[in-house]
Amino acid sequence: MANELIKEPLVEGNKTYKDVTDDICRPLESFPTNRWYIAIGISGAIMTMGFALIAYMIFTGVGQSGIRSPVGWGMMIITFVFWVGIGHAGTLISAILFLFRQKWRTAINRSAEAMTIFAVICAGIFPLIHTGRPWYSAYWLFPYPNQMGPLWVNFRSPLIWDVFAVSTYFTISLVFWYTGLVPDLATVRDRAKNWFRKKIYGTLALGWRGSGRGWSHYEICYLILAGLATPLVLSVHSIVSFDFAVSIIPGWHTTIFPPYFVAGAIFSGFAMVVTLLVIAREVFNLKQYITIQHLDNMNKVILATGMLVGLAYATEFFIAWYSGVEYEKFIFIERALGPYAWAYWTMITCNVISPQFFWFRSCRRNIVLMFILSIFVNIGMWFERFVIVVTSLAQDFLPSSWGYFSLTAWDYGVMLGSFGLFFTLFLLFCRFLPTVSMAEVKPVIESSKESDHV
Amino acid sequence: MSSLEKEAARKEQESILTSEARSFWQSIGEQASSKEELDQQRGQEFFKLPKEAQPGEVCEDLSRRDFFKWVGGASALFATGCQQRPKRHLIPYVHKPEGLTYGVPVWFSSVGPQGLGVLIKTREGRPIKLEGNPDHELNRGGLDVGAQAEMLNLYNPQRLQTPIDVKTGQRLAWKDVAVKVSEALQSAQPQGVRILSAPVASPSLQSVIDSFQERFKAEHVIYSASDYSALARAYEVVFGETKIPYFDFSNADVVVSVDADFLGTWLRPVDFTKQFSSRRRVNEGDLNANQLFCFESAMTLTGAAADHRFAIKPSHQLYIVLTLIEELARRGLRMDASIRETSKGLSAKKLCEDLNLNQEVFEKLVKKLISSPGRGLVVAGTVGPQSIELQLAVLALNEALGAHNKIIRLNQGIKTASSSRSDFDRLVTDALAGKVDFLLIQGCNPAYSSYSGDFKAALGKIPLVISLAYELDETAALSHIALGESHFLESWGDDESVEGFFAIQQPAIEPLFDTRSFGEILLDWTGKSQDYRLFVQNFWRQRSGATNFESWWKEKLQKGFWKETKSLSLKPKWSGAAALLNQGSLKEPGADLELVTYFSVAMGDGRYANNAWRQELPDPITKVTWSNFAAISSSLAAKLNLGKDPVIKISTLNNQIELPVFIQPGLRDDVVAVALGYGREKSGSIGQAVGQNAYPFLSQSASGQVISMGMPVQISKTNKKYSLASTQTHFHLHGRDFDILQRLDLEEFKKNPAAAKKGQKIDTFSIYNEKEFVYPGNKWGMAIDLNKCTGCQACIVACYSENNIAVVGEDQVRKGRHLAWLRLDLYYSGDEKSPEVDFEPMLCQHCDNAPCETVCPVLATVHSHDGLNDMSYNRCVGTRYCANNCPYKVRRFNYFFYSNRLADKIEVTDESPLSLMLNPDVTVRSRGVMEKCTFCVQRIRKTVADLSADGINKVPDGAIKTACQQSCPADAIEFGNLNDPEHRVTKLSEKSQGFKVLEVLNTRPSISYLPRVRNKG
Repeated sequence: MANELIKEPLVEGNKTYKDVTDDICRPLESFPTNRWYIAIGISGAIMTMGFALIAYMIFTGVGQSGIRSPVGWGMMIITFVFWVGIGHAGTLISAILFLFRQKWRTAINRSAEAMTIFAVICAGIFPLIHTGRPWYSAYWLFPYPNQMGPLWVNFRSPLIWDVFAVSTYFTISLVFWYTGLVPDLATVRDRAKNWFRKKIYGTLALGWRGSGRGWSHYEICYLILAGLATPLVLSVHSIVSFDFAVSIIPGWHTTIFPPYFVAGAIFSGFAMVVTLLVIAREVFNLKQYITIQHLDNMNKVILATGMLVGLAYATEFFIAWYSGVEYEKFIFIERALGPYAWAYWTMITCNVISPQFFWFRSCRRNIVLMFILSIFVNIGMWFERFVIVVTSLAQDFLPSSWGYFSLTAWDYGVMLGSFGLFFTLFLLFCRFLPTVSMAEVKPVIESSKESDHV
Repeated sequence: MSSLEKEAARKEQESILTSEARSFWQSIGEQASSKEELDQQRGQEFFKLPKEAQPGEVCEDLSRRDFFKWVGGASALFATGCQQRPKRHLIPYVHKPEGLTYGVPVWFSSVGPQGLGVLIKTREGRPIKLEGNPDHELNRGGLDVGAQAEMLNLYNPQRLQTPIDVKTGQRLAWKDVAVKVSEALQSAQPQGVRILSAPVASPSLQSVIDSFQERFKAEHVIYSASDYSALARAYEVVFGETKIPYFDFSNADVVVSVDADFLGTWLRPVDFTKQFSSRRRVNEGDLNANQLFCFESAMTLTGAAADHRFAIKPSHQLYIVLTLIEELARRGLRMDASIRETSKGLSAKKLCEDLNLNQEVFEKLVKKLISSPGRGLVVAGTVGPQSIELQLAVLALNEALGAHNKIIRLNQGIKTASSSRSDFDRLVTDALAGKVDFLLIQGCNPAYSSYSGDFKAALGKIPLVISLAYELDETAALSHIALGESHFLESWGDDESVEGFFAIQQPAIEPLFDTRSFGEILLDWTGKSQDYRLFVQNFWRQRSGATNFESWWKEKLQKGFWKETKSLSLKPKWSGAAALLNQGSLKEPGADLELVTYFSVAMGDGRYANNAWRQELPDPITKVTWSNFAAISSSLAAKLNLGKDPVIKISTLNNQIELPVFIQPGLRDDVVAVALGYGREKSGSIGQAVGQNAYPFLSQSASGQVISMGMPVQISKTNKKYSLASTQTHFHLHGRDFDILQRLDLEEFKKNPAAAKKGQKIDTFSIYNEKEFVYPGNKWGMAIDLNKCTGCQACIVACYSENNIAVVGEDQVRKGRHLAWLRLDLYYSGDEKSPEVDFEPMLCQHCDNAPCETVCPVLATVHSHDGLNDMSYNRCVGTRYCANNCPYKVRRFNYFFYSNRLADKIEVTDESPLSLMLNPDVTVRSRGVMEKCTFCVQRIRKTVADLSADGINKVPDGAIKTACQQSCPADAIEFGNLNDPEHRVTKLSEKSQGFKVLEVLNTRPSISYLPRVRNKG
């Protein structure tokens, strides 16, 4: 059915198997370009700055951030939710689209999954460093056997659910990604020309031989992992949304949060995939694998999820009015018209208005436009979390305690640093691992349809 | 076993083996053992333990056990020895003082500044907390901000610690100072020796001063930044006796205040608050509430407590009082004819039209005063432009209302308020003329607070100026020798701040530094070198005439208070008054912009600017910390077209300052209000350069009264910006009154106490089995009567002192990171020009369904078996989720290591005296943890433990008082066991008008609030 919808070939240029292998292994086997060095130099420097700032904070105090009473959560929780959300596209593409037999996913699933893992790594840093005493929260948030009573964690706290949700998500994503990598790693191993390279990729390939029996087990395993990863797409961001939904703060205490967060996560995730792939296909010459059709498809998903997010925004307002809760009403009016109206309207412009361009085929296929819009969406989704986290806390029940939150230079630095970490990891990934799943692309290239290979 | 022994054993074995043809063995051990050993072992069920080294035996062969001992010991040494820990000393008592047990506080009675009776809590010999002495009949257990903050004054490391030579900064010895002084005193010209001091309330000190004066022909001049001489002068003119009478507000049904902030800073606010709030017990069923009409220029605590408040400007004061006289006289109040003469032609209508006041309310006031003979009282500020005339008019009015001897006590003069600027001026003139050879200054800082520069010049003309001061302040820095003054907790003394009310000032600690008290140095210089305690004792031995003085003395020390009443009947003579009043005939109200300066509740006259608690304490009305500001109305601000965080310039011909602006509701458009006590140039690192000094704007009337209100000024916009550090920035309830702060009128209340609920009902239900959450024993709870609370904030400082709360500094307050566990929320309602002000103390509500508890991931905040919301600092990792989820926003977070540095300015080390101030029962919070009100859990646990040690399981009402409750001069806070129907807190909580803040959330707080009931009728 999927093939009927996609008229264009999934891989352009009438590639043979050898072409595929050569094309995809080339970045791994050739000396890195200057562009790569410049890119990793910049992102590495930004990452280093981020870590230096974090170290400074650990020595002095979490007050380096703009958090204050009553806004106890700021940049760090916002950026945490942002990165967790980014991760969702990878899992969706690799697991759900796999189960739905969407073959166009094959060209992009590897990098999307890598993005997931790196995004979760970026996300994972923030809950740790946002605490007042990271040296304790690093392990006190886990239910480990101890001599303090024993003292357990509070299983009623959504933050504990978070710990489980995010760590499970990271584990499953990593295993799933690695499993998918195994046949390709074996290919790289087989092509290796020096002993050192052979040993490393050989070890990573876990002795893959490509036997029929191996493939059979592999396919089953991959299917099971896809099945395991699928509920995570929905559960992780639902649980992250519980951090807010379970509280009693107006604007947080809403039942719409789980689906709203998941839609937002997929929305931002796809936008980030588009951003990355537009660059990657340019830099690594993968245009024939990551075709304009792929990008078109993803832009359609962005349009759909963007509309879902817009609907959620509208629903929140409706419910605030319909519920008759004064505090709820007040906070939503303040979001649109109050001190943070600038953030709110940034969010609306980026998340609701900008994806509307993707109604038009020409826009969906315009590389420059989609690159700009995908960045817009990511900005908008960061602001969505800003609006949720900050506005509700800044003006809650007692007017006496209201206060205005603003980010500090430290906040900007660390947030930027997380992007540095993300891009550094992604650049290393592009350099050392096959960015497109060769084993999965080969069955979908045109030449394979005529042959016996499946 | 040594190797020799082994060898011997082996040989023996061989011989056995060779002697017997064949030997059978069951184990290697058996084979290796000698025959004797085998024989020994046979027949024994258990083998004996391996051989151990005997004492004295050289251990050549290490046994297994010894080996492990060595390994264990060595690794323990290795593990511990390599860690360098800070060196700390625990020095036990060689001779333990009698009656002292580690961990058990010892209490002393004493008397603090302003003659407030205090109980000093000491732990291991150091005072850690002051509480009001309930037996002292003036403050009756209440204390104010200043008294609570004294603890930090005592332990402040930036005190003047020794006598120093100011010019060189060299340390001097007391005996060298004494030599220098005696030389100077001997060689001084006649009338050349002067003492300049704060008002003296101590009878024994007065006797020392008297004998010093006698010995050296010295003149004693009293100086105080606050000036009540107009009041004293009025009583002198009319009753022939210079005195400031005592007011008893508990006897007044109708109180009129004209710029007298008697609940905040005027005369004796603690006493007055106690008396005033005793007449606001509406919520307890006493419907005979008093009524307060307030005319005021700035917004003060008195205006906030008022049932009706009129915004005026200082030049209106006399006009208002004279109109009141006229209106009352017209309605038949007997008024002296000569006084009546002054007010001829005035009327309420004209006044209200001229000043734009609410005539209806003014008429109501007149009617009320007429209908309450002997129960009405008028008080007026003493620092306005026509203070003498105003005080005379008020005196006449009070006499006509029958307030004297009923409400105003002429036999109980207030001594702490006496000062005379004309004496001070004479001192300055004499000094400039070279007539003064020796000046001793104590307890005052005229170089800072006097408005003319003459004093500084005068100091330069005096050969020897000696300052006895708390810190090297502006005056001490200009003197030749500065002496460190002992704190009242370090020195003996006595007190008669109000005539007939006595207390012994008993020290609780040896002087921390090389300091002495005023009495001590005068006694020394007079040549009667004597222990000051003995001197005070001897003084009272003579004065009391007690036959058994020892028991008399002990009793006074124990109780901390005694009273000697004497009656005094004085007859008024109006001739002098009429003459003065006619002279200062009423001036037409002008259109000038007038400056109002006032003492803020937090900073007072500025002498304790270096006290970080005071600096960080928000101004009770504006909630601004760490600076003074220019309070103006919003329409005046609009007229000046001020932007965000503006700074304006206030100027007169001779003086100008630039101050940040605070938009204050309830001010007239032609008034600028600025707090005094800021802008200290010479103080410690905390007090210096905070705000601007407004004293230079002050002036003096012809008869020598300070004018600190109603000076015509100009204001202009500047381009500067200054963001004030406030603890509250929003003052409107946004229609949330029912949920947050309920209020109603007395008339409504009489019909239905719960009228504020207006039929609104909250249905709360639980999906859980309610019976699972019962508290079988005690269930601690609090009731706060908003009708009594005046917003004085003594509770906040008491909480800082009791709970070791850190001071964060201005910048952190600006970021909303101050750590006060208890705050006093303020809300305005009604018209912006004449708003109503309501306070609401907000602290941890100890909710039964606490939203903070469920969200903490590490169980750092949990519920106790007796209804407390406990906070375990050690477990807290600082996610701040609890603070986010707290609808009352009472949880405070340590964003930095605040407890290490006082206001980010003074390092708090183990060696610092500041560490001695800490309450050992309360954990000092580290960086990165959440903290909040605990209901003074340390007090609860101690009392319950002490009672149960005596076999008492039922905690009697009042046995546990939280620090805020104890200090509250208004008695607005009740604390106790909600499970005990006899406890007052239970009775109050069950009142139908009682409400919980945000009851709609079903958090089930343990604190009930009782509504503010305004007596508007």
